[in-house]
Amino acid sequence: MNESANAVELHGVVKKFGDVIAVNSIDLVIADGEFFSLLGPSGCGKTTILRMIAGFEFPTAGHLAVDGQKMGLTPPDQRPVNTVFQNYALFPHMTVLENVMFGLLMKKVPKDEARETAKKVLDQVRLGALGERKSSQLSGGQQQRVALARALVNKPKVLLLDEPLGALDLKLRQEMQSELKSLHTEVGITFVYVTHDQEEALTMSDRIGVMSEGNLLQVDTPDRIYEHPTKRFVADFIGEINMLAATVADDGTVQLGSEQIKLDGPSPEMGQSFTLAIRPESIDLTGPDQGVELGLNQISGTVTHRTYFGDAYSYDVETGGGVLSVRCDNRPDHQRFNEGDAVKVSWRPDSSSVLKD
Amino acid sequence: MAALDQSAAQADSRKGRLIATPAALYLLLFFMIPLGVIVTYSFATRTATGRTVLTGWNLSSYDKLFSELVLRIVWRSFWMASVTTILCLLVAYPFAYYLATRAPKVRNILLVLVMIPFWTNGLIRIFAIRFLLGSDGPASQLSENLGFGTFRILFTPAAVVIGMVYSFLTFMVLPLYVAIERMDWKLVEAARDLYAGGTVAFRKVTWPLTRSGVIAGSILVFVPSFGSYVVPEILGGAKTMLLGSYVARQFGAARNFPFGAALSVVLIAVMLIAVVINQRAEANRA
Amino acid sequence: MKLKLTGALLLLALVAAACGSDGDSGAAASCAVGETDGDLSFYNWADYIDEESIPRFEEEYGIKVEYTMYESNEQMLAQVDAGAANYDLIVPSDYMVDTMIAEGLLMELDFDAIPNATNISAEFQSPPFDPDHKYHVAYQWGTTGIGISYDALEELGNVEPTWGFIFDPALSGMVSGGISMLDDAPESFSAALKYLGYSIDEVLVGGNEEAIREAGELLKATNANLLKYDSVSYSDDLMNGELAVAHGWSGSFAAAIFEADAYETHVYVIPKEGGVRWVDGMAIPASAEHPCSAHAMINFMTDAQNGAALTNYVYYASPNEAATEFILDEILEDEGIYPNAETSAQLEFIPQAGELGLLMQDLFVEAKG
Repeated sequence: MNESANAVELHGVVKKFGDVIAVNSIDLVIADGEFFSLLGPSGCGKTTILRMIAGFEFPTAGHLAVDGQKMGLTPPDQRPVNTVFQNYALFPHMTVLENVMFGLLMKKVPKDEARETAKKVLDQVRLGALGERKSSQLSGGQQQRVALARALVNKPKVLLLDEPLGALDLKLRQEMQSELKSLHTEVGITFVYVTHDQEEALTMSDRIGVMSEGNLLQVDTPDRIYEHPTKRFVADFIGEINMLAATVADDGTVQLGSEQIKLDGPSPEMGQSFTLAIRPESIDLTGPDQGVELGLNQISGTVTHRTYFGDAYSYDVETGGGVLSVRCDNRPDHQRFNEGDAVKVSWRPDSSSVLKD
Repeated sequence: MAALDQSAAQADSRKGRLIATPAALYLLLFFMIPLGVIVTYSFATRTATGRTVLTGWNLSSYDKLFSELVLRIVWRSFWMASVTTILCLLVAYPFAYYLATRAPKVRNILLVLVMIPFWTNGLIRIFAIRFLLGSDGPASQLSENLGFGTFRILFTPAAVVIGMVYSFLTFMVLPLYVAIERMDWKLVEAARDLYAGGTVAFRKVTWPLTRSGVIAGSILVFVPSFGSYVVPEILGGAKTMLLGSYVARQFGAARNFPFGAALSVVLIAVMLIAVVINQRAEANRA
Repeated sequence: MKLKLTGALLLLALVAAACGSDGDSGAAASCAVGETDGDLSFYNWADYIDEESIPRFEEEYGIKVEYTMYESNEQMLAQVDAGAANYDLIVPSDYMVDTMIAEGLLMELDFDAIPNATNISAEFQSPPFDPDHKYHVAYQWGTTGIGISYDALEELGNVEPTWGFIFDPALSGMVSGGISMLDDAPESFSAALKYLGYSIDEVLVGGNEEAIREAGELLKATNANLLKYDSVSYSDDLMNGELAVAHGWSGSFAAAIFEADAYETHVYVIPKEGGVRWVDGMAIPASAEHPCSAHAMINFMTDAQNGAALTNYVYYASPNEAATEFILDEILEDEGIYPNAETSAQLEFIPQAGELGLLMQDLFVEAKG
């Protein structure tokens, strides 16, 4: 054990399957005790990274370390990691208890001791009473917890979770999300969590790595990822966002169509065009004559479309800088606009992001 | 509403019965009735000249089943069928494993290759093996050219086992292939992930999870091996008396139909026991 | 329930049919010479007719011949007895003629329709298995002895051929090649009985069970020295070297030696203790549907020239005296086919063995282990 070591490190890791590049030169450091999520659409390479950490695949180039130790070609059974598989992969020919004891017995823990430990962990995931059942007799949520117990009982350095909630229905999924989060706090083990569900990643993770087509595009905390995406893909993949073409004029002013706006932080170089991204809920909508706080960007426009969501309204506003989608909470003081109304949209300069592709 | 449901169910079951009728008639005519005849004959009497008379029902044919000779033949058939089954398993399992883990395209080609020999007449293939194993056949000549001298394996129990393994190998490969192919490989990864080495993972996960295929394949090989007739006659030189040949002899040269029928009843019983074992195994798995 | 009843009825019907076939002998035909009454169903041994006869018969009589084959008397008997197909003409061996007469499976022949029957030599006109010559007309005859390679004979010191080549471990041990026996209980027991010095006829007709058991023990002791039991391909295996000594039928060896032109290397011998003589006869099952066509065929095959053509093709001896002048000299002079008088005196028919037949079958299996 290495107290100060990072849980997982990837340096220039490449994985090719034949001619297909599944993972393209990834550098990533996951700290000890972190809840780290790899987020991306299917086929983006996130599961391949997980499988390389577990030892089911080996990098084509680069190297990978777990707990400070270079893994090289170390087989899965000799790595200090355990996996919770997508469809749980519980052994159907064994009871729940036998499933949980499996890893301990393989590590030559005496049978009685293994049984006691396994029972304790089963209690921890509230399945203490079901130890003698066959796994096929359990519900999806119960199987999920057995899979967790089976991995956690071994006290791995890193727990790898491959879309563990994918097979559950929405309500159960939300329940399990908070359970997983508190379990993580409780056991203090590093979690590497693979998911394509942005909400899951946002709610549970300490940090998120967003992937697309084998590339790791952005690694950051959930709020930074959501509010300040740096890549067009990241912005687009997570939630709704307005993306508008903008340019920096020769005099240094930022031009959004016919409108001039301000950015927060360093601007792109002069004369360059870029994409301005801003979340619909970051934009305020007011009447054309209403005053707006000083320092905000403001543009006038016309409502072209309104959609009712119950808890919110969404407006499409035609402006000199393009069509903006604006989301307003349906609060009692909300001023409702109709299609064709002239309006003014405004936002804080630090709510927008500059996307470079 | 309930009445409507009921009559719909009745209509369904009527339709079901109608569809099953040709098969049912066929089985009745060519399976149940001959089976009945066999059982009837097993209690009949053989006259001195070999005629079977359907009077004086008795159990003497069954008494004879327990003679030392018959027990010896049954025992020999049993262990030769067992050896055949085990060899088939040893050969077929790695092959089925290989087959099931190939890309679908390669897999289909290999499957066709497995099936091709079975589109050739079985008797011709057995005669080909006979040629191969003969003292002046290619196998022996190769051994001689390599300096090991000629060998004779034809007309020995070893030749019979080789022939039976060859004849019934596909019956082992296919169920194993199906079992291995439908196994969830994630489970093996899970075992590896939980500190099991490759061998242990196979023993603890792959093997138990493909056992239904092992059992089905073993039954499909054991049952025909146990009653095998053609292979022992041709490759064993009729010197190794097995149950199948013994039964055939009762209906042929010995003209002892009642005894042959009693032996057949025993064979059928063995087969039924095998089926029950298989069913139990399937039920356990589910 | 209805189904069960139907099944039971069908079963009863089958049983009744099986019982009903216990007909008495005595069905007899009455046909004119050359009369036919439909296409002929001819059930004969494999490789047991020349290639010309059937086409010529078909042309001459304007009927079709459906020709099917069997490999043992018992196989043929089972088929005829089961009434599986209505054969019109069969060729059972001596003891099988006896069995089939006893069981009423043969039709009495109308010799008026077979004028050529007079071509058959007198010694085949009243054999023990059909003493009144009512049910069969002899087809071919032959002997059972040993086919051997001259190499093996040399290994044995060129001694006078004896069944000891097979049964005496001191002799069979000298042979480096394989040894086979017929996979046929009556034949193998007859060879053993001859070696032990018994008369086959006396033992089987006289009911000498002791002698049968003694022969059984001998066969059992011999089993380990045999390469195989085989009644089909032994003569080919003798030619290709798989076997050096083979117990088998004269014509089979003669044909194989002729085909392989192996006169310099192989020979068929009748051991000094004597061997088995057999005769196959043409007969008509009681259940035949076209008995007149069958009579026509018997008459056709008994014709002098046709009888000779048969022997010239299958290399068995002809019982047809009139055919002799058309038979090839090399066959007539071959003592393996036509044994000399001294050897002939040592030959015996295998009689119908009754209960002892069943005992032989059991002991034969026992001998195989």
